[in-house]
Amino acid sequence: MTYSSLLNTLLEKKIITTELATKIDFEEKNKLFSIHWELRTLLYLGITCLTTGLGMLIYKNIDTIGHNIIIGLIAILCAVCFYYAIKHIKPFTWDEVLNSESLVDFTLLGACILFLILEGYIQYQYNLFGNRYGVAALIPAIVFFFCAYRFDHRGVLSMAITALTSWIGVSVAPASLWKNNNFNTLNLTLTALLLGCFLIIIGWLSEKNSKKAHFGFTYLLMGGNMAFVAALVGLFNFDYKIIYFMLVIVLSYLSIIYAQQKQSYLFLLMGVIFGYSAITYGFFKVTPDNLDFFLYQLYFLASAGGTIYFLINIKKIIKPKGV
Amino acid sequence: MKNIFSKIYNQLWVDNIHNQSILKEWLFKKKLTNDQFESSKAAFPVGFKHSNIFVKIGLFIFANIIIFSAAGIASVFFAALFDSSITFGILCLLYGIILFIVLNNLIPKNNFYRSGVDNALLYAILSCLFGFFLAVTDFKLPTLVYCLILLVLLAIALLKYADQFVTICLYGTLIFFCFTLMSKFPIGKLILPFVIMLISAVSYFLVKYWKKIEATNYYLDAQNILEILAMATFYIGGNYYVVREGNALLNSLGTSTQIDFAPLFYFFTVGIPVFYIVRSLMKHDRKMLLVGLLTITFSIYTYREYFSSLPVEWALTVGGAFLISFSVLAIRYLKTPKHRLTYSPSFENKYRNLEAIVINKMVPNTNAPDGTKFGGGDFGGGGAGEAY
Repeated sequence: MTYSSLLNTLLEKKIITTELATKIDFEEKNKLFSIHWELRTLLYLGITCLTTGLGMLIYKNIDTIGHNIIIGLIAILCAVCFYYAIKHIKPFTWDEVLNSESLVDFTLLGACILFLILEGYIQYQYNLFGNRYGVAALIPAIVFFFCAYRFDHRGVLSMAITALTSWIGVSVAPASLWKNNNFNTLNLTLTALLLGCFLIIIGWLSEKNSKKAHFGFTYLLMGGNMAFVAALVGLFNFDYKIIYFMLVIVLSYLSIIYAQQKQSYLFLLMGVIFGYSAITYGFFKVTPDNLDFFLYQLYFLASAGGTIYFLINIKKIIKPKGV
Repeated sequence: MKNIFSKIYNQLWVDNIHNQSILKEWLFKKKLTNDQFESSKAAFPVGFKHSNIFVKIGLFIFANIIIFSAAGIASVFFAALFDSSITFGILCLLYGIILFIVLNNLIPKNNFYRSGVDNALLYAILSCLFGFFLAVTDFKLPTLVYCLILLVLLAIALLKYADQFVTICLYGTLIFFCFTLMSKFPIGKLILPFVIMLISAVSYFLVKYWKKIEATNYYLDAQNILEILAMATFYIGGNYYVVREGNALLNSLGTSTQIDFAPLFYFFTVGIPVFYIVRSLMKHDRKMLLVGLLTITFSIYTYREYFSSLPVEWALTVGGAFLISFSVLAIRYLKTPKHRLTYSPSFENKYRNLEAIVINKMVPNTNAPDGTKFGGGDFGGGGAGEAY
C-alpha cells in the first residue's frame, strides 16, 4: 500500500480533483529527501562533544604552556558565538519567535555552554568570587535567563532554571556542608518544594498573561517535577506526613486538570504516577504492619484497575473547560 | 474466536492510520487545503481509541501491576502447587491462557491498538507460556531447543499482534540461536561472523520481499524494525571490534589478539557504514541512514580502541568541531535543495518543548569540576531526585 491507492480513493470519492491528484503524484515521484532532523541531531551531538572535550581539556592541561591558549580559544569562541547571535537578533516580543531554520539557536546554545565552562574555570583557578559560591552560581542564572527571554530560546531557559536551582542549592547548603555530606536535607527538601512551586506559578503566569506563553511548558515541567519529588521525599522521610501527602495530592490534581485542558499528557502521566505513589505509601502507613499478603495484592489489583479505568476514560471523567 | 492465529486488530483501521499520516504530511506541505484534509481524513476512519504516548506508558505500567498482583492473589490459593516444577509450569500455562482470553476480548471491546494494556498483556502471556516450557522440562533441555520454542512462540505472536517489541525479541532469538549453534563447532567459531552477516542479509531481503507481497500495512512497523535490525546485525557481524573481542571470548583468551582475515574486517568496519549512508541518501531510505549514522559512530569507537593514542578530550574536541562544521556546511549547502536532498523538515516538530529539556540534559556539568566546588544543582532538573 502506497500513496497511489490513497490518491485513487480520494479521486473516487471526489474529494480532490484530477489535476490536484496528478500534481501530488508528480510531486511524490520527485519527492525531496529531508535530512532536517538528522543534521540537527548531528549538530547537537557536535556541540555536546566539543564542549565536553573543551571542558576536560582545561582541567587536564592546567600548569602547562598550552593552557592559556586553550582558555583564550574558548573565550574567543564564546565571544564569536555571542557576537553571531547578537548580529542576527530579532526585535523583542513576548510571543514566540519562529526561526527554526536559522543557526542562531545553536550558536546561542554553544555560547551559553562555553560561558559556563569559562566561568567555572575562572572561579576554580583564580578564585574570582572567593568563597562566595553563591555569586559564582548566580551569574550564569542571570545571563541565561536574560538570553532565554531576549533570544527566545527554550533550551537556554532550561539551562537557566538549572543554574537558578544550583544557586539556591548552594545558598541553602553552604559548600562546606556539601563536602562533609551532612547537609540538612529537610532544609533542602523545603527549598526544592518552594522553588518548584515558584516555578509552577511563573509558568502558569506566563501562559495566563501570554508573556512568552510557550515557556510555560518548560517552567511547569521542571518546577512540577521538582515540587513532586520534594513533596514525596518529605512524605517518605520527615514528620508532618499528612501535609506532604496533601501537597502531592493537590499537585497531582492540578497537573491532571492542566493536562486535560492543554491536552498535554506528559502532565497527566506525572500526576497519576506521583499521586499513585503517595496514595500507595499512605495506604501502607495507615494499615497495620502485619496485614495479610493477600490484602496487599488486592489493594494493588483494585488501585491499578481504577487507575487504568481513569486513564482510558479520562476524556469522559474530566471535561476540558470551554469545550 | 474465529481463528486464534488471525490478525487481532482491525486491519482497515491500521491501514488508515498510515493513510492519515500521509495525508498529514501533505497538509503540512500545503498540498492539501484544510477542508480537503478534513474530508479526506473522514474517508479513512480510524476507530481505535486514540491514546497519547504518555497515556500508553501509564497504561503499560498499571497493567503490569494488575498482572503481577493477580498472579500474587492466585499464588495465595495455589501455594501448595509451587513445590513441583511441573505443577508450577501448569499454573503458568493456565495463567497464560486466561490472560490470552482476556487480551483477545479486551482488544475488540475497547478498540485498543498498542495502548499499553494490550502490550503488557501480550508480553505477560509470552512470558507465561515460555515459563511453562522451562518449568515442565525443568531447564534440562539444551539451549538450542529453548531457542526454537521461543522462536515459534514469538513468530505466532508476531503474526497475530504485529508487535514491535516481539519483533525485536524474535530477531534477537534468531541471532542468538545461530550464535549458539555455530559456537559448538571449531569451524563454526571461525565462520561465525560470515554466518551472522549471511543471516542478516537473507533476513533483510526476505523482509523486503514480504513488504512487497503484503498488501496491507498491518505489519509495517514490525517490518521496519526487522529491516533496521538486519542492517545493524549485518554490520555487527563484520565489525572488527566485535569479531576480535568475540573471538577472544569464545576461545577463552585472556586478552584479545589479532584475528584472521583482519584486513577484511577493517574493510567491513569502514565500508558498511559508508555504504549505508551513501546508499540511503541516494535511495531516500531513512532507516538505512539512521543505521548508517549509528554504525559509523561505532566504527570510530572501534578505531579508537585499537589504533589511536589521541587522548579522549582531544578526540571529543576535534570530533565535535568536525561534526559542527560538517553539519553547518551541510545545512547551508542544502538551503536550496540539491541532489534531491533538502534541509526543510518534512513534518512538524511535535516535541519542541521536550527538545529543550533534552538539550539541558546533554549539556556537560562543567560547573563542578571536582564535584564539590559549586555543589552543582543536584536536586534540580527533570526530577531525578537520587541526589538527596
